[in-house]
Amino acid sequence: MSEPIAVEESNLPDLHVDWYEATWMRLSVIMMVIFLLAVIAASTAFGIQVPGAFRRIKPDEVMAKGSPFADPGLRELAPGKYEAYIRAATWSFTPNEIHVPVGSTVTFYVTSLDVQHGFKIMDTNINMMILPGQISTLTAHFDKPGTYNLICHEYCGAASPTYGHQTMYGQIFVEEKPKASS
Amino acid sequence: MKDPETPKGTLALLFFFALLTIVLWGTTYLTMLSRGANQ
Repeated sequence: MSEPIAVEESNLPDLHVDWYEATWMRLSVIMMVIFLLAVIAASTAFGIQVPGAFRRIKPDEVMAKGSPFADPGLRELAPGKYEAYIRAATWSFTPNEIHVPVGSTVTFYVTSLDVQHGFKIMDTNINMMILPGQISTLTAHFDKPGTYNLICHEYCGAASPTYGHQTMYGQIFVEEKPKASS
Repeated sequence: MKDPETPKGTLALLFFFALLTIVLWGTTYLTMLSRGANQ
């Protein structure tokens, strides 16, 4: 038969946690759990994703024959479904104007010819970093007609006070008429 | 010896901070959801 285990008295001080302090700690943990669950719900149930690298492309092959970025623009895959290949370079997007009918789903493929750029379409969840050597992609659905401004939001230099990162922008026109062109 | 009283002002600030965090976070979250899926 084994010996009974001797319980030694702890030398640790008696840590009294005030009721208010304990409540505050519990509330903080509960908030973090709720926020985490909400983020998981957004990414799974509501389909909101962070941008992913579609694939890699060597910057010196972006303009090569056969590259979709050598002739960038909008392509119709099916009625109401498009893909847009956009080239970013100091200090412009090519193309910088896209016209799609309302209700369209557009998948953007964007790469950079030179330095790091940003690609943010205002009033949508499209927000990507554009790196040379990488094709970034996200898909947006345009339900409301109007003009959506598209900006570079990663500082990429400037040639002068009137030409540079601050003038690197484009526009997406979501039109009522079922007509698409770039 | 008398225990110090719980600082009511600090508690009020903490709960205001928690409320502000919840409101700002929730507003941003709902705005993001209203813009729809982007996968």
